[in-house]
Amino acid sequence: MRHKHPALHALSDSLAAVVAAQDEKRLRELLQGRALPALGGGLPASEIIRQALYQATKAHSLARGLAALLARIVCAEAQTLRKKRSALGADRRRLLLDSLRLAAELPAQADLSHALRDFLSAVQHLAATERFQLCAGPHCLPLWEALSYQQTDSSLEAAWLDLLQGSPEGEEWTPGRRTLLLIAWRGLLWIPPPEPNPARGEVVSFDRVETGLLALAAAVRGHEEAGDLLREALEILRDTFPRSAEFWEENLRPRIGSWPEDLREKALEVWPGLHSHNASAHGSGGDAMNDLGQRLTQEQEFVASLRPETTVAALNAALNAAVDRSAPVLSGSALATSTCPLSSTVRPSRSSRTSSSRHQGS
Amino acid sequence: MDHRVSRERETGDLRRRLRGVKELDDWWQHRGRYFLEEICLSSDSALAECSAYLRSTNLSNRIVRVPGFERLVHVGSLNATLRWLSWTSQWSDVRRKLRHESGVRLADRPPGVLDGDWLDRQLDAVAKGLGARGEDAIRRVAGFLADASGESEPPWWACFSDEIRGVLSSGTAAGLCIALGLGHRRPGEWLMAWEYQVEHVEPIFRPTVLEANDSAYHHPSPPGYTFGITMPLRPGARACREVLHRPLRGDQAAELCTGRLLQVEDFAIPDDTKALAALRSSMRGIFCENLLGPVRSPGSGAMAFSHDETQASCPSRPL
Repeated sequence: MRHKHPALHALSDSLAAVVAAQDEKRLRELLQGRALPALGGGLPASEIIRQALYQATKAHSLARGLAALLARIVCAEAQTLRKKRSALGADRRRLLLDSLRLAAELPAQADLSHALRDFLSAVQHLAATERFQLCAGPHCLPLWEALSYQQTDSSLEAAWLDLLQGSPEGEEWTPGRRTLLLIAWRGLLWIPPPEPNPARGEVVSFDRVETGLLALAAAVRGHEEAGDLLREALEILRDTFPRSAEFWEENLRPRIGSWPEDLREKALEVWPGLHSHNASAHGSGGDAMNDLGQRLTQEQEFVASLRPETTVAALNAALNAAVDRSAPVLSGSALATSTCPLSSTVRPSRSSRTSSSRHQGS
Repeated sequence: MDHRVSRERETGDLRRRLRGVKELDDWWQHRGRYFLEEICLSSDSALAECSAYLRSTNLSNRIVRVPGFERLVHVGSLNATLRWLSWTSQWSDVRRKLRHESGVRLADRPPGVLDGDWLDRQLDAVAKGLGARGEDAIRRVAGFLADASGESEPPWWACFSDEIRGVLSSGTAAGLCIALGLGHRRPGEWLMAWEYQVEHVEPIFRPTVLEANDSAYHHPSPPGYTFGITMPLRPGARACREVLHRPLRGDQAAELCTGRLLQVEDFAIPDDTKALAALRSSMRGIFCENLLGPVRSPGSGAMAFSHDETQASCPSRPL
């Protein structure tokens, strides 16, 4: 931190002692605003703890220790929420909100990630008014924000896409909805690559990126903020994976031709090098059109060669494969049956090792 | 509690929130809750759920003898405001507005990156971008942020502009922090200021420790004294009278912003227990100097101190 504060330094020592003693109760008390230094400015407990964390000489190990303890707290609260299913008191709401804000600051760990997903499933059983109170609004933004930072696998992929797509009836276009869309987009991008790391450096899943972008483009279409949001989304993509402009142009070039115009325009703003290809793809009689025509002919010939029963079987196989790929989908009944694996001890996390190597390669 | 908190307030909403207090830590926990759930509410007094400083139980702190043309100054932190907004539903729109006005985009902190200054560093670039675009851009952002802060923003603290005119025009943020007792601001933060007439924000109130939440840089003003009083961060610096009022909103919040962003310079903040204790004890001398000495009334001189105020709790000779 820019400024060393004696009171925060003392708190950082206390946090280290809390982690060393695995003192979940004490961390809970701190998150409730007890025994915190009087800094002024009306700062919430999580912000004071965050500032103290960065005063520590070994901030990384302290953060990992805090994440493990926080996982236990979130897990216990999810269980309480599931049992109680009634209004939570103000102290508990404050504890939960500050726990979620702190979780978004800490490095991703499997235990905390799992605890947050368990909490999400518990929250989804609450009545709308309860959920509103607990999550500081209708969109549960602090929870999704924490989940986006605490990903150690791809289990939230379907949930992020659901958020981007919204409900079939449409969503009210509010500041909260716009903020949620960008959180969901980041969440989708920040899914770590499968383990072990792909040997060919395929850290960026372009299929996933494209699916998300198309969903986002559809969600924002027709709104005044659409252009800005799409551009922001593309720039988040560019920032998430530090690559050369040529990398993006090379990988997006085969896809951009089928994108809706609003999205394509914004992509051209972010990567002007896509321009030349785009012009030829949409010019009359260009090579790209010839190529497309040839591919269509080949596909038509292939389809014509299939017998009807084979076509149905092929479709079923494709569907099954898609379901298999998204097996750990966290929505609906899958969420409802999710339970927290943490009981009294915190297991060493396999994914915590992988989280440090995320977004490397290629 | 604080002599400025009325018995009605103590036995009313305050007791309700402090129920169950058994030890010191309970007190801090419940006090924080009181601030969040009773102070951080709408400043529209017509609403039943308005902030506690506007309720009838706090009428004894309402300041009525200040003319509407008297001028006030409120100083806010761009960094603190944006960190707060980053937790709200407004965040996407705030980022969009900042980008439009400053030409600089706020990038997200990537996952797995532990960096306590990430947002502050991004804001340095935004503030410089705004500075380059000029005062009108800063004013538009000020108005937008004021509106985005919403109903849960606590009341604004303000001092009388005549009392800090020299510091305000000097353009040094550290000077403002010292004069106004802003010990919770940090070097590197960007400050924005608003200057306006009392009639823009009436009614105005004397602050209490309840609105100050847990700030170690707030010192209660003495009994019988109409206003709050700042605790300057340097011994011997002149204290200012301070008041509370509703936050400015909409076009007013834009128009009445000074249009300047000041970055807090590196300066020694009294932030350890010893320095703070010394500062707090020096307040007694400040009371005497301000209340017994030849006090210049802010503004036109229309505001005068009553006999009660000048006798307030000071010994017959300065310490």
